[in-house]
Amino acid sequence: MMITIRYFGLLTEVTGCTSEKINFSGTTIFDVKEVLFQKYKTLKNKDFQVAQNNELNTDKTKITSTEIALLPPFAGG
Amino acid sequence: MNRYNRHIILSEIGLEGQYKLNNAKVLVIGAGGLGCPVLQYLAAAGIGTLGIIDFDIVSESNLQRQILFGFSSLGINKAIAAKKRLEDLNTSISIHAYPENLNHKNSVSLFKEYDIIVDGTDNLKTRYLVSDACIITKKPLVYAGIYKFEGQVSVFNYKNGPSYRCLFPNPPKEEEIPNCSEIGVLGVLPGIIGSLQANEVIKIILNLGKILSGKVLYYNSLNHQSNLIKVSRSEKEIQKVIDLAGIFENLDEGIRCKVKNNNITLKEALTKKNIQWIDVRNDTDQIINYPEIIQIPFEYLEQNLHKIDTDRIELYTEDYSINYKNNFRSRFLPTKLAKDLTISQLSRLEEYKNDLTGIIYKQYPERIFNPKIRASHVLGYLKELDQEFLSTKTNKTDYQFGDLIGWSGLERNYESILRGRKGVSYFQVDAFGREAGKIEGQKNILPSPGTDIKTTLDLELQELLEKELKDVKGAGIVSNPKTGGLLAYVSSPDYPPDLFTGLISTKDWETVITDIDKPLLNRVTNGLYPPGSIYKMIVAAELLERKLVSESWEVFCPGYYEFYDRTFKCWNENGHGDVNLEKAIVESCDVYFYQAIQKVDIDNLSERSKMFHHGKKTNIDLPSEMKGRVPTYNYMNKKYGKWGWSKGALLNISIGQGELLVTPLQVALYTNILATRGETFPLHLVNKKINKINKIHIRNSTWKLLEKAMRGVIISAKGTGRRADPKIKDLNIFGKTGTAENPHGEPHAWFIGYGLKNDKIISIVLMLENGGHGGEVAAPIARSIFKKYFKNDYKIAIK
Repeated sequence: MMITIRYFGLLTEVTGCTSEKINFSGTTIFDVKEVLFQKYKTLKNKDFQVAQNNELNTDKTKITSTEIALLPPFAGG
Repeated sequence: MNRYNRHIILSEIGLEGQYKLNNAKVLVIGAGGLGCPVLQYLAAAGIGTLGIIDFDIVSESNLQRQILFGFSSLGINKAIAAKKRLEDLNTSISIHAYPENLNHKNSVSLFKEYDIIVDGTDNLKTRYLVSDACIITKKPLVYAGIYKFEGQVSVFNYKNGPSYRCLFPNPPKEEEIPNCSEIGVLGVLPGIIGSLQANEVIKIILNLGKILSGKVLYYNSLNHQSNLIKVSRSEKEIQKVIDLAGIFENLDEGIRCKVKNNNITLKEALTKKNIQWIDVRNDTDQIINYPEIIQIPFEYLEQNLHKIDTDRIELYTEDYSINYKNNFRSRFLPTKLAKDLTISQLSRLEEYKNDLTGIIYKQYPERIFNPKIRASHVLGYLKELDQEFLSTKTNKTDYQFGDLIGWSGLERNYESILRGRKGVSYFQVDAFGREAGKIEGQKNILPSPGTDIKTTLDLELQELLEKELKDVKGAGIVSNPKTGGLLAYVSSPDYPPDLFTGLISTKDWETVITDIDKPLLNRVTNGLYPPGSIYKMIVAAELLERKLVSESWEVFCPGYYEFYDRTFKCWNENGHGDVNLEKAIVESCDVYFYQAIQKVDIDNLSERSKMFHHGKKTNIDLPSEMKGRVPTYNYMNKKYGKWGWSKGALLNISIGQGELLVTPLQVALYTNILATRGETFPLHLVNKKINKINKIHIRNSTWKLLEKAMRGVIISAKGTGRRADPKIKDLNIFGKTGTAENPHGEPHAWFIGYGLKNDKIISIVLMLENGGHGGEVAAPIARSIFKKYFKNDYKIAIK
């Protein structure tokens, strides 16, 4: 299954893009993160939340959407 | 309420809603990129009580986005500068500035004073602090954060909604999230996001529309994508914070770090040695019956110091360990732990010398000041030298870390002369590095004291000028045009001259650097001001020297001058009638100069101005000085574009406004040139052999007219400087007043002039920032100085 991952804030510095499509065979948010951590080694050190269908998810949440967003806090002011 | 008319006519707000706004209390944390637009809109909307907390000062790189600040706010604390701007924006609200750091200690009590808290901070550490304090005080938090071109906004703790920790439960281990100062941010972005925050605040107060609670808005200004992400309340996360409520104020600055339980029982405490316990509480409900504890209520502590057993006072170790960290330079150099020891501390040090291995004390020089005068901007202050200073010195052996050196003023300029030479002592040391005896056959080299320098200042004139300028902002210079020596020099406000000797307390330091009147700014050398009408003698010289007008050429002044579609006003709205060059200076007619300047070439005028030392440093013997600005053709093209400016700009320059900027010190040299037909010396504060300034090629007839006109300013019936004349027999005063418009309020008041009696001469320059009319406020000060000098026959000198 192809899903779109969207990156916000400083996560775009890690991935070098604001969104990308990945080929995904897992079932939960945890699995998505595993794939991304494999691809981007430094992503693991970043603080972020994962959302699908405009709702925050936990690691155990099942993937039901084809679009996943990774949301970090913004420190600046 | 007319100010709020556009609110009131909205049926959703109305008079009732406006009253709600006027009664609301909102605290904004951080007056930065987000804080500025939030504050601006909330003040404009009439939020009755606004609090601003920010410890930082305004720096130039803030101006790209922090829209409450301008050039004049540089160096000023943000909370104070914002308050000043907002008080101008809305006079009917009350604004509280807290120029301090938000921390666990002050946050809870501060938040309790307000209805809504707005987070405009720039680091995660403070964001968690703000969020937690809001949970504890049950205050709604209007949150936003920005990153480059993106922003996030949400309202937390609103009607049982989620809080920040429900979104991001744990602070990152390190500050891994960069802020704007590290990574950059689009200037307008905080404007957009901050406006969204202001909007939420107003909606909460008015109970209007849908509050952004339970959702976080992500907005990207590059592609206009916005996402509303749902956030659910996590009781567990919120409870964790509530559990901390009892000890919240004791948490240190680590983010929700684990606190060691330091409670001990009274009995345990009393077993500790070398501690004197004093019960300083006022309420006598709980009397403690331990003979070890003496009772002195706090407010009477000072009167009862004799009751304290000094033998039991411990040196307060925490400060010293911090000092040790800060001052440590090398294992082989002593590290300064404390300064300004009291006699009792010293005697204790002596007493425990053998236990305190490696701790020694030394005497350091300190300055003593003449109690009559301050002269802080002239004398400067001493400070410990730093690496940068040391690297500029070729003879490094005379300097060591920890040495006090002149840091500004004459102290800096004459450091090498004032400073003595270090001596060398040879002695044996024991295993701990303590002195244990002399070495046979090694001769000590004795230190030599520094050389005294004698300033040109006149003690009495200095004292008088300081007194005259005590409660105003401005600059005053009295000098001798025949020598170039400065007799009095005041930049007001100043700082107490002994501020920097010994230990300066953080509080004193903060008072000085956050003072909106900038006492550390040396206005004489570094203040830049438009000269106003005192510039007119230069224009007159240019007109006569190039024969652009004759002395008899006349202009009719009706009080204004129409130049294409613009009307240029004369300061005297009633007009001056027929005006020639002399009258134009005496009565300071602007219309004459508006017309005459059209014959002048801007580059020629610029050259002429430089002849009179405008746009050039005076090279006085002080460490820092601005050179001012004299606009040229190229400068105007560069600033406004080739077609962006017209002769109209020249009209402003003709009366000393527009692009012209001078320092009061330059004006002093200019005045001395006028007083001596160019036969003057460079300005200086310490006597030494110097040559006259370069010859100025101007015809005698031109000098004569300028002198006649400046005399007329003082003695003619309509002269603007009549108040400068103390009317002493044989004393002739010459002068010119100036009233320089500027964007910071009332005009700056100028007086320049000189007095001649037999062969005695002095010149005076006065500039009162936002003082009003030169003739009215500056000239009378000049009179009292002329009076003092020419009535007295006394001799000089400070030091």
